[in-house]
Amino acid sequence: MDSTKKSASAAAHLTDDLIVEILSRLPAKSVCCFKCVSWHWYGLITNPEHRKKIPQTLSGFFYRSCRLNHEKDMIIFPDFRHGQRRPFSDPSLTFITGYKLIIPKICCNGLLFCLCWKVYPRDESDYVVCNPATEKWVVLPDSDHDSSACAYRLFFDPAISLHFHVFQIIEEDEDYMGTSLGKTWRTIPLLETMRVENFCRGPFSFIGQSQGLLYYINMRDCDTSKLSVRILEDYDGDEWLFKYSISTTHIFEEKNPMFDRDYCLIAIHPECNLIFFVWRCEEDMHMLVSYDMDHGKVCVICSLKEFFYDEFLPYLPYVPFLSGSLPGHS
Amino acid sequence: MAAADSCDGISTSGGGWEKTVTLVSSDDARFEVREAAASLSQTVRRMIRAGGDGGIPLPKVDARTLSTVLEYCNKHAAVPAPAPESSSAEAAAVDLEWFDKELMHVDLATLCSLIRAADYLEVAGLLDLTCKTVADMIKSKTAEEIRQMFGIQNDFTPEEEEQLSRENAGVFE
Repeated sequence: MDSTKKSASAAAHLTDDLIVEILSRLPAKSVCCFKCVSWHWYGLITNPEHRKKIPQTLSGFFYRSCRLNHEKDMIIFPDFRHGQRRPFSDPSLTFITGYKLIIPKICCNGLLFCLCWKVYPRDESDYVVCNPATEKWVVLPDSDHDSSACAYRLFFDPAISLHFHVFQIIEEDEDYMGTSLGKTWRTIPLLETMRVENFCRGPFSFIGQSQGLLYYINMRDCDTSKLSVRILEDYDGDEWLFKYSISTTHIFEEKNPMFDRDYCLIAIHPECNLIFFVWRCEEDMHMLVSYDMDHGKVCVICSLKEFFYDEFLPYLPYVPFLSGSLPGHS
Repeated sequence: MAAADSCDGISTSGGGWEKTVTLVSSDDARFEVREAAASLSQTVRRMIRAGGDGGIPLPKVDARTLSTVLEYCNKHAAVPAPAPESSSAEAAAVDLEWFDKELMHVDLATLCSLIRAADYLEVAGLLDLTCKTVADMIKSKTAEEIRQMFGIQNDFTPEEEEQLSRENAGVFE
């Protein structure tokens, strides 16, 4: 028997559970590709029970949506923009009860951090962390610094710990370094060419993670139609490696589009060299656009109706975390 | 004691006696193994507790596969309790990692037999190691290459296949 036949016959004896054991140790990108092996493998990969074990990938974006109700009042609610299938049933997060308004703020590895305004008393709010896939949610306790908090950060990585961390960034305290998950925080210096300050609205830059690497994307100071993409090769080092130069003129087919005025960078795909933009193509019309950095391919995903003309609303990239319980927090 | 029936004893290099058990493969090969090593298999551990005569029968594992499983168990059971952050513990971890890597230098057919054996014998560490090795082996393959490796018939119609690859080419799942 030649070696291919021998391995094929040995592999054919693997039970479904054992194939799932192997699939659960693959990167999400490979799992996605292996759906095309056979109907049987397709069934194994898409089975809801198996999906809890198998790595998931980007399945869409949470955003803040609006509509007018019968009394012509504007209703704001969370919604979800997805591809082939929505990985959960309730994109408006109605399972979070007792609130009249839920505003999704941060999404991190399947958990969503929301600001929720109470039905009563109307001027009170809570911060809630929920898992849309399992419909589990938890109200965060009040902190002593709620009034002076200027920003929040959510950290959750089920590969490291099933605890999530919420950081409150206090206005007068710029030095918010601390320790987390047993590792000391540190400052990673930026190169001179990476610093682009927009004095009114913060830097024209984007920080994200993909394929286990930290990405820094910024508009070039000298040529604002170009974006530079750099990666930090080693988390313990300070070395930024120049990776791509992207012409936004090519993507948006308009002369010298401006970061934060004509477009906004919203996400980097966790498995692929793909970035996502929201593009203001007309005054009240936005488009969700993806750009393949390896092949220079632009793809318009959908149009987005915007009710708020002056700013780009956050679109939060969502990768499902399908495990049953909501992890602990600290 | 019932459990003693399937246990023999051999002299260890230190001069002391260490309890051993005899495992019998599907093709009737007999392996005498230290009980501590054999107990890395939850299945064997349960059978030792249940007791019995003339060795523990393992009808689902052949001699060739069992000898590799036992090589793994002997090595891993010999590791002393970890004293964290000591240099010897670190050296032992490096040695073990190297050993695992060497043990996994086998073809896919052997790996699949090992996966089935590790699953049946419930050796969690070996199941993880073998599945990880196969995952590393196949992660960059195409669907067609997977079909050949695993002997799978492509049962999609050309239209279904095109639809699926279109879905995959989409930006999100």
